[in-house]
Amino acid sequence: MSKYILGISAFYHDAAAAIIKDNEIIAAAQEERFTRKKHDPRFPFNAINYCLAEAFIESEDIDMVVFYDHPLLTFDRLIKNFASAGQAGYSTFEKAMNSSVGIKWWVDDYVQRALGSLGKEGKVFYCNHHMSHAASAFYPSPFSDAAIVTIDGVGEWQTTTLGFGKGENIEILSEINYPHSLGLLYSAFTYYCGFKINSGEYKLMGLAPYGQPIYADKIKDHLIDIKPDGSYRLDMSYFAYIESNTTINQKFEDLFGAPSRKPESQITKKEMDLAASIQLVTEEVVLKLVAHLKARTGSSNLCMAGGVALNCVANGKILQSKIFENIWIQPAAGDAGGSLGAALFAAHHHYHLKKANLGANSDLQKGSYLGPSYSSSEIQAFLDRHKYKYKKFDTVAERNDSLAKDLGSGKILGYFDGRMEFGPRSLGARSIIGDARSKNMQSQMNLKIKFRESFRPFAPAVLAEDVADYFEINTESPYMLLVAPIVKSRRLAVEGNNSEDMISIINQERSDVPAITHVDFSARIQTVHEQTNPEFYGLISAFKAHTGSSVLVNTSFNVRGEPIVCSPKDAYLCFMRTDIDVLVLGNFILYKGDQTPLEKDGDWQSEYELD
Amino acid sequence: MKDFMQTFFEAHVLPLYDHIKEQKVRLLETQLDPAAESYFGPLKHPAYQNLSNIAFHSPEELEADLRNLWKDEPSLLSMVPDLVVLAFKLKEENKEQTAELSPFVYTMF
Repeated sequence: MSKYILGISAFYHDAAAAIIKDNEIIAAAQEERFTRKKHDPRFPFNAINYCLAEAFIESEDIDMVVFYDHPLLTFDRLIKNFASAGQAGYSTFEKAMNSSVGIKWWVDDYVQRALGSLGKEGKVFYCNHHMSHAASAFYPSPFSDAAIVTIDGVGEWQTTTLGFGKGENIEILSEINYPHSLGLLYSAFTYYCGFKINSGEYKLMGLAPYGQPIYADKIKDHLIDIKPDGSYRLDMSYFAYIESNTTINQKFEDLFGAPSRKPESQITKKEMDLAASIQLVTEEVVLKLVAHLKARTGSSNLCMAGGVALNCVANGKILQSKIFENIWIQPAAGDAGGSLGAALFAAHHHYHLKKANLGANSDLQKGSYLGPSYSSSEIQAFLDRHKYKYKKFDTVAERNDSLAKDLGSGKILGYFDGRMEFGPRSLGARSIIGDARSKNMQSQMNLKIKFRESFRPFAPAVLAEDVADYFEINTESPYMLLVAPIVKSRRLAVEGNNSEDMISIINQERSDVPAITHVDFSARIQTVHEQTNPEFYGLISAFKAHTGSSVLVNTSFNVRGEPIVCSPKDAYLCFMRTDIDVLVLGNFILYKGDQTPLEKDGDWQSEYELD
Repeated sequence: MKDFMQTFFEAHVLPLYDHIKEQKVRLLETQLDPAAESYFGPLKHPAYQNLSNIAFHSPEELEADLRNLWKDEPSLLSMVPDLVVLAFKLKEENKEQTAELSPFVYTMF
């Protein structure tokens, strides 16, 4: 008899639900995609409903419900934190108690409300936060054994764990606990550089190549003590998060000689250098950690999860180091992926199901296309109801041939096809795509479509078999979690990058695929595989046949502050509100010039808080 | 509720703060140790490393869970009865979950 297990993450950020049938992942989705509120932390009623629908089951069919974190153990940290802070901590005590004791302790009630029951087990199970991360990385991986690293801001207590997975078992070998946290250190710099914690870390990583790591020694001399095995502690006299709701204090600002950058103000060389410095320190810690774990476990394989595992630059350094032969990183590495990990851990730990292995290079993540899809009849019904003008293609091949010509002529496509991605990256199901050879594509996409900072790089989607023609990488990167350099033969000579004028640096053409070549010649690669996404693979193949290039720019289908589009309606709105030229909804294509402008939509940007 | 929260803070959190100062106990390990070879440690809460149940549908069940959590930490046990009362009060107040978490504090609790 099959077991259906529902995993849930909620109440921190990026609430999500995942459902598995035995050890097969059936569905997973973030709540934000349904509520249209970025990083929505609220209980994922919508995502749960979707998971049940996708699995074709009723709530009474669920064997077990698992939450990805232990609320009482988290409270243990919380109360000890406040007891350590004394009176200074009262400013955040009330809010924290409301959030923890008032909401997070009552997961059972939320589950009861969502499902009308607690599953056949009759009670909700709680999986340790970092074990949820570790399970999300190991069980879907193609490996029968692996070293496992989890790093994030904080779970209940843990901030970093080293573990080993073999067969059905995962053992956590050692840990680093709050308040010492590599994730919180990176977040402190995110805040100091004027970006939002939880979403700005990715921007800081993208900013790093513009700077020089001139503050790295200062960081290591004052803020973090790193041991040879990669373990570390922070000097808490520079941080404020024990006694307040901010991350850093005056001493931190004094160390770097100025107050924090104001959000949305001009980015200066200083922020670039700070970003480069904290990135270098992060890489040093991560490389030492994984080298230590390699020596300890002897495994050839490494699995990673936790928010810091989304630092694809550091991941690329691990790959280059060749410490491990194989690396697999959970694409939903943040808290959303904890829902999946909790369910998988329960399957193997509680029900003793065998770890599934599909063979070398075949993982169980299904390309991370685990979210909702819409049939042709559903899409057509939507378009007809609103009388939107479209062109329908009978075959994907015909559609792709037409789209390849549009891309080759410089058009930007909103591409919506198949099941939505699980995790923060768009992988060719809900993507904005364009010609990577275009000199103007990066600035056009950033400023006229994404409405985001001009320095932010774009990622390439490349046919898997052609990846070595463009990038110095010898492995697959289907989840856009590895960074590697452009091959030297494609690079162009550029002037030095020491200018204070970021725009002049950005506008330099660095390769024959300039739209996806970052300032240091790196790129965050997505290899596209026929097996996992034949439609998107077919589109890039058609583009290659038309132009000779097998690389497209691939960025998430949203504007700044908006969750990635989920439904045809979301996609249509994003298409009409931006300079996207063509909207692809499965086999239906819509051209901007054929559409009637949206009525009464002038203030739509106020719907989304800037990230 | 604000008064109740403040009373709880003054009755339990501040005395705990004074207690750990007097006893020189550390509830959070904040010190650096330059002489240490490693900062890695064994699991601090091995009993909670895998799957657990929490059965606090009634005040009695919640009290039992909290006493189990802090069975080796007597300084925390005195707050359990008041904490249970506070928890059920907050539960009633938060029945319709509307909490908006600050992006700056999520990591703390």
